[in-house]
Amino acid sequence: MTDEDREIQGAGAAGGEAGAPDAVRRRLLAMAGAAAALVLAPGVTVLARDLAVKGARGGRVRYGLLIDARACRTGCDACVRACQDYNGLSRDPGPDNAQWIRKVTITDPGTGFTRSFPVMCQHCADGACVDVCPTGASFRRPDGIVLVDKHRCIGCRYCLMACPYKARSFVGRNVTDQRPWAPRGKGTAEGCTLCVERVTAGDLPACVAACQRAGHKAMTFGNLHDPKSAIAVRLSEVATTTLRADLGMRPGVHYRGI
Amino acid sequence: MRRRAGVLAVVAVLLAIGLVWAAHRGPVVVPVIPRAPGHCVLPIGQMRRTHMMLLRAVRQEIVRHDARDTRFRISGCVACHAQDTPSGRPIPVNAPGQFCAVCHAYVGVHIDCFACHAAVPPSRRLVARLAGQGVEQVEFRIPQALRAQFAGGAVSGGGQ
Amino acid sequence: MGKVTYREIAGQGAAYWTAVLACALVAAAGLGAALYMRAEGHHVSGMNEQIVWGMPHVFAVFLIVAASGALNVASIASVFGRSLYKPLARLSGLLAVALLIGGLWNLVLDLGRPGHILAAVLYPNFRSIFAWNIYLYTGFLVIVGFYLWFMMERRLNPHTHAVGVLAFLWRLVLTTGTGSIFGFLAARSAYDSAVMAPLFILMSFAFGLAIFVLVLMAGFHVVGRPIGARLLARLKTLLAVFVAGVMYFVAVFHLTNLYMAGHRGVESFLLVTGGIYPALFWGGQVLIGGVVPLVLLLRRRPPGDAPGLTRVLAWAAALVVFGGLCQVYVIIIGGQAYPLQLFPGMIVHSSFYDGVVHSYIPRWPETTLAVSGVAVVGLIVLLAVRLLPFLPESLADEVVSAHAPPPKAGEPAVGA
Repeated sequence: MTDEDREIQGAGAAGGEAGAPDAVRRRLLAMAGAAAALVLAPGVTVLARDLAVKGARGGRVRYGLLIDARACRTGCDACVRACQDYNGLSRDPGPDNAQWIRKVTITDPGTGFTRSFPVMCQHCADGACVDVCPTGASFRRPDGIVLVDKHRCIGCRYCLMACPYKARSFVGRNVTDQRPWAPRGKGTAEGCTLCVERVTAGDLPACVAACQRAGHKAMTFGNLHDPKSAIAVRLSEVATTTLRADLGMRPGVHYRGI
Repeated sequence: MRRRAGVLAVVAVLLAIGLVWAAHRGPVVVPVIPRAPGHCVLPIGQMRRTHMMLLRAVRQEIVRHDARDTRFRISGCVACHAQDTPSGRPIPVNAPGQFCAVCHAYVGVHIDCFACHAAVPPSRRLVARLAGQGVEQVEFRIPQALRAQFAGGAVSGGGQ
Repeated sequence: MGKVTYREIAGQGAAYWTAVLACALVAAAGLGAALYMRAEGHHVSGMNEQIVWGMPHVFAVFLIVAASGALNVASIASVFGRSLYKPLARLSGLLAVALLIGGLWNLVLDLGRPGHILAAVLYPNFRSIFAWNIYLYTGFLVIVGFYLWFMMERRLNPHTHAVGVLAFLWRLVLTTGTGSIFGFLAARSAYDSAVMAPLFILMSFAFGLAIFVLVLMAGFHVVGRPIGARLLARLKTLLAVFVAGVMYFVAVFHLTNLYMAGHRGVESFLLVTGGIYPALFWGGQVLIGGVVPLVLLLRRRPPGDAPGLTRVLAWAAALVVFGGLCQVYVIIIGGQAYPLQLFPGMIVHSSFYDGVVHSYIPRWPETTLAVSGVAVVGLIVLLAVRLLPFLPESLADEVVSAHAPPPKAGEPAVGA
């Protein structure tokens, strides 16, 4: 008998189904052939129990950003570099490479007014990327973060066509050095995740943390739906705007001073 | 009739080639699964039968909802099961002979998890560098917590 | 005389097998190119983060649009009861299926992960016009399949009209869907217009008929079956009407945009300053694909001059196809080359090519894939006409006119 057989027998015994090796094997075959549900029941039961205690998924949370373009320093790209580092993105700004966050400089040709500030996925409430995705891979989580579910993404790039903010990218190369907390792979669309791993664990997104470390405090992160959160308080006090507000996608990223 | 005979002949030849090929492969070699320290999050038999369903269901919860119970996530598997070379460099779990590849090659099931997911744990250097920037690695905490939770031997099994 | 008889082509000659082999080779090359792109990632193609849809999509959209248009000849016969076109209905249905498969070949093989295409069936998002199109395309294949079956199976002939009506309505919805892929994109100033849907329908009429005419004449020429002047004259008039229709909608589209101040930037890019795109628009689409074919088609010709008609029609159809490709290229590539208006009225700079015109230089992998879609169409048609009776034995005047009522007043006269 091989190691494998012993393991299988052991598994059978652990499930309270001790018997001769032949009987176990027959039972396993019968299980495999007849009732997949039965085989899968233990795992799914465990899972269901785990997920049941997970808690509310309600709309009480909407994560968002407030970017103060007046505080953002021209020439500073701490947020961009932190994002690249944390999420394992290339630093090379080639036409084939993704940029989840970028510094944009705008100048009014009439007045000469100029500002520099970061632009990333705006985590819209009614994002075009979510609407156009044929498989629902591009979706909005209950906490307001817009993500690409790469398990479903077929790589059609319709979201890249539809996003007015140029916030989606397409991975056109083999990737082997992903960060464990930021899966990304060839043939799928991607974009800013608002550092969902960190945010669900109670941390700040990498860009916001980097901006604070640099001492500029141009980025505020928080729950837009919590009236007591710092971001909600600030938004209620000062005049802010969203990018291409005319498109009605209700972005979760607000800008001040542009 | 002639056409039918031709088809039969082709089928027979293909069958013969398949049989000869199968015979040449010799006895089936049962995979040797690299062992990992500590205990798995579930009994091994259950894990073998259900890990694909668990991963599939869990990914749905983690990605699409805001699940925080992350015991069954794939980076946890990688954190424990990735082997090191003698020089201490991690080997991807999907490399030939490694934890994921060895069984999946045996059963002939193709997986593309690692087209997107990291197949090695984050290097200590990366973790240290990010920590130096005040960026604490949320993900890296998980395997530790996971080990602490299951180190007491709550589950039986060979410890893979 | 009287009944139209259909017969498979003999397909014994070296020419036939050379054509089959050539199509198969190009299709295989396209498949290889797609596998190469799949293995290496799309960075080996000319497409990038700015120009996300390239040559495969130009050909795919062209073929898919043409597919629904190719069905028109069958629709004219069985929906609108013009029995003159009835002998052509089978080829029309076949071409519709083949063109759609060729277009889908391009679309699917260009996906980032074609192996995951089932996700579109398992988790459809019905807010996505793309997801709707998946059902429109597969539904079209099924319906036209039934349509062909009903046409070819004598006992089912009486029901052809019903299936034909369904197929006709379906194809209108399908082209609306294809046009809306672009029309619904509010983010891009070159699209974002409801006119896209009717424009695409007219484009489908013109491209589909042009391809149909080319295939019909080439096929009949090679196998030596006759086409009468009466039918040619009718096709000629029809093509002229469709080409004029496309030009009308193009004019409406651009005039509307020009009138809206916010869209003048993209209009001046596409019509004047955009380099290759204005050249393709004015030279390829308007002149070669519109004005010249119209002049050719509308010039008076002596009645019954079949060889002359054949020549004029063939040239016009070929030019319409060329102009159509230019048009789809300008729509798809030109529309992406113009930068997104993230900050309207501002001068924008960034490391991610904001505010600059994007360049697209097609490379061999995606170009090979794009052309292979056409080869797939050729392969399907070549094999189908040899295996099943799609082509009528003759389209000479006495055959088609025995089948059709005499021309009524108000109809275009022969040779008009």
